[in-house]
Amino acid sequence: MHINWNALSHVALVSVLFGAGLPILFAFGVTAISRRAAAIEEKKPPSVVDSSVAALCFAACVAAVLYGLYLMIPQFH
Amino acid sequence: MHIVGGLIEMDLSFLVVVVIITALVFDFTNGFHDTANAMATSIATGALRPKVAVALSAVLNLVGAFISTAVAKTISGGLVDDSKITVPIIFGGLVGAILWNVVTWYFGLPSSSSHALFGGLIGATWVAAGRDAVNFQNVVQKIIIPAVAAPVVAGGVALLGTFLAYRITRRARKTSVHDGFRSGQIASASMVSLAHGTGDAQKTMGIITLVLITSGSLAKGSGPPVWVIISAGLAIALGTYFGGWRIIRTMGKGLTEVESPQGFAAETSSASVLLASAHLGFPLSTTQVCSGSILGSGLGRRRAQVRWSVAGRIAMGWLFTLPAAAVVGALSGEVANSGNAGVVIVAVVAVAAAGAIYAASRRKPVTAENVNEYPSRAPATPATPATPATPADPATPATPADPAAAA
Repeated sequence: MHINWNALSHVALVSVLFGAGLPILFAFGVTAISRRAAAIEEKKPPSVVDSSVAALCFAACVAAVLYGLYLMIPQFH
Repeated sequence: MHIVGGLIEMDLSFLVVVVIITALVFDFTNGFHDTANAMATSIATGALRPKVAVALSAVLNLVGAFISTAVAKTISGGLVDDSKITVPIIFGGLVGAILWNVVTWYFGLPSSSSHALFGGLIGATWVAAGRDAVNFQNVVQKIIIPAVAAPVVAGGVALLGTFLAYRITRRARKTSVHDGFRSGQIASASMVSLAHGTGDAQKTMGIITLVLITSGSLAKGSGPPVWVIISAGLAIALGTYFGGWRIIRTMGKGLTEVESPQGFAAETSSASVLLASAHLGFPLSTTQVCSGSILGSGLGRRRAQVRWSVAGRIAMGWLFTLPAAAVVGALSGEVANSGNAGVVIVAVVAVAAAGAIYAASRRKPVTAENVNEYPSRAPATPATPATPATPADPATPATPADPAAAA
């Protein structure tokens, strides 16, 4: 029985990077959104930091989706 | 018989026509069996309404079928000696796979359609061409090892993603978190669906193309004709839209109670593992990846309870996929090999069996309306000593163990 550990570990590594990285990014984005929403409710101006963190996190998620589409659609290669 | 496809007109024998139809039926079962992989958690968390979820998944499967038509060059990928494969063997293999898909659907078990197909082909080839025509080393290599690796990798990734997502958002407002991840789930589920569509419809296209080549209707090395691409894409999309609600219920509600951050983590894990495995040379089965991810997302949230009895039943299903499909495939292939009468007998018996299972499923139907109601039975974990068996508690109406709906 031969297991291609090399390929398997590569798959695991890349999977962790994207599969756990995206929920992390998204979670930070959602947390920032939540702080913004709380500020707006208290009639305070939302902090620029929260807005930019949210925007950056979600932009990174969108980029990952686009990369996934690039991988899936052979016409792009 | 005369089928017009693009510019090619072909005369096809009775057997070839039957096998093409059977392949499309397999594609259909592949679709409804795998809807759950992408959409179960989105339906469970309410990110998408059930009907919308299956419609979206169907469209993405159809799109996937069209954008990726790089079909397999061999039917079995080296599991059996491809030179020994005849059209009746393919027919037998397909029948074995279809019946296994229908049986596992009845029990609400996610199981790999590719494994069922390979099992059917192995059985049919074994009986028709002898044991030597089966490459057991490749069976271990391409089926058994990935089947163990897939849930472990995907489950680990989803566990980590879920745990961290809850940790990061623990101070955020519950509504923002749940609504946010719910929106994210639409994208993550769509990615899983599309990944599925670019991979699975090709299996059927490959089979039909190779049948046409074997029967001399197409030149060696041809790609799939347009009508094959369209019909295979439509078959899998229709199957997806039909919705394997029984399996969706098991994966969305049965394995564990899924909240939207878990659903998102499970789906991103599935999409990442599927794409990574496809591009880094270690192909993994969609069903095993997605089941592993959902299990992992259950383990990653502290208060979530994983029903290990359900997980165990799913694992048993995976264990039996290959041998069960192989036995049916062997029988069907053997009978079909005797000529057109045999083919008709196999087809009639298979349709009757599938029809009987469908009829049985109607007694306790699972539909878009009740898909999110997992029958509450005795808790999966052994009851704590603090709760003695109370006879007939009027507050909780006793739910008789119902194997059809719960299994």
